[in-house]
Amino acid sequence: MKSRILTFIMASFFIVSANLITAKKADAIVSLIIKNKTAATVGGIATGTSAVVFFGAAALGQAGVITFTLGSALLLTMGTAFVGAVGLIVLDDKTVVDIQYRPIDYLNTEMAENFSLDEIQMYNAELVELNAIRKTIQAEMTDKNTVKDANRLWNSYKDVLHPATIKIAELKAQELVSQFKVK
Amino acid sequence: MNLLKKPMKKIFIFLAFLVSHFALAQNIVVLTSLSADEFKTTFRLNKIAKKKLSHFNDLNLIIKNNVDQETLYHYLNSPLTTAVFWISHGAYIKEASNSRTMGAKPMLLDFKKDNIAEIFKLIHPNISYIGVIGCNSSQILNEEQSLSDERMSYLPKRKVIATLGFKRAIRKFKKNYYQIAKPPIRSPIINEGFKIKISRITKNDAKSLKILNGDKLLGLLPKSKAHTLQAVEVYIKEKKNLKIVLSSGQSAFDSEDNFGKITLSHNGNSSLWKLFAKPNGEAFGVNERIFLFKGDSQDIEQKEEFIEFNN
Repeated sequence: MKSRILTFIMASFFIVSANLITAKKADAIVSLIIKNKTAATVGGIATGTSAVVFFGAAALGQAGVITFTLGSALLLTMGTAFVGAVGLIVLDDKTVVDIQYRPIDYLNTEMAENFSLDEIQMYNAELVELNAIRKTIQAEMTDKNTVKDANRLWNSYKDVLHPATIKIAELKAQELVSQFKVK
Repeated sequence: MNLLKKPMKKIFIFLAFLVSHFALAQNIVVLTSLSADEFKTTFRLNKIAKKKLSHFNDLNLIIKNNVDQETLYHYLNSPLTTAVFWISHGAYIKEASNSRTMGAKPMLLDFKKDNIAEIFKLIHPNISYIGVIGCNSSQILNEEQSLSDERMSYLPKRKVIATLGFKRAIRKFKKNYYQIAKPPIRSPIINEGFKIKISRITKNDAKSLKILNGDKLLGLLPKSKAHTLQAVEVYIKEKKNLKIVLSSGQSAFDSEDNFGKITLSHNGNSSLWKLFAKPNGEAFGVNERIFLFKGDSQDIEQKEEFIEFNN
């Protein structure tokens, strides 16, 4: 019984989240999402347009679509191995918040262990372009697409970036995906 | 005849005094940008503003509602503005760790849910006080590194109720304004930079676009009418980063094209910047256009003087 409920929830999330990733009008999608949200709750508090996010428990759909609720908000992300969080957060007032790559602090010792200063500088310098590609992939995904399609788009677009940017972006994407635990 | 001249003279002097007073008086500007269905809140905010901010002898009160980024930009860059109160929604996701390389983009939203946060990157030095009454506006604008420490501000760090937040912002303003207010600068502020001309022509009426260079706001391309060529000149102070981003601030779901055909040029040379695009020419990005500098450093010639802030 429990596994049937879980399967139903995961299937609903997949349909809902796949719809979200297309560039459609927000209202129809958001009402569908809010109607379907369930309680794969992340351990935090969400009040109105603020939410505390702990990248903890989530439901991992079969197509690699990861969704979880933040109280009254909903995080939907296609957890690809490479392009990472092709995802959006929908808040309870229907505001859509984008997920983006952020600059890396040169003093971040964890990053310094894996990448050289030159590589970090190149990544930071191309951050705008990297996020532009990520948003483009997000906008091009339809409800018929899968993780494989998102990765294919990433592979076809990424060559405009420096190899260092690609390397860091893919590693960070994999780390983000690996933080989600299957419920 | 003499009996008529004296009253006329007095009237003339009085009118001249009034004109000069209002011409030189600084403005307190209240800008609300809430959605249409929040009209009751907007009405209450207007009432609070008129009750609490209209009694200053030396300051005029301006109230505008349904404000977009273009109007906000105008008042933040006006030499006559001394204080700005902005009231709108904010979107901010607090994360367990802010050191993550991927995270949610914070936004300050106008009444159409367009992100206007970056407009606060360019503020006239005559503005002594800024109140941004929106949920978590402190975190949103600090992330944008928008506001300097040189002026007093009211920026909530958590969720805020519009009317209460506005009253708190007004109390802080009234308590401190006459201690912090500086005499307004009455002459234009001149600086030096490399001139870039940006022109746009669209098939439809189009929104205004923020013109960004790194973490700086260079200017704004105003709203335009369909099939009308418009152009602005902006200035970059340093050659080390010549990437230009034009952004409408629209939500990811608003696919209306507000860009049309955009050209960047320096000294008449329009081949120095290239649109960041796919091989088929379609721009990368959603609701933004990124222009990468493809010329040589020597193609960007001498700096010239420009008016950074008007008087």
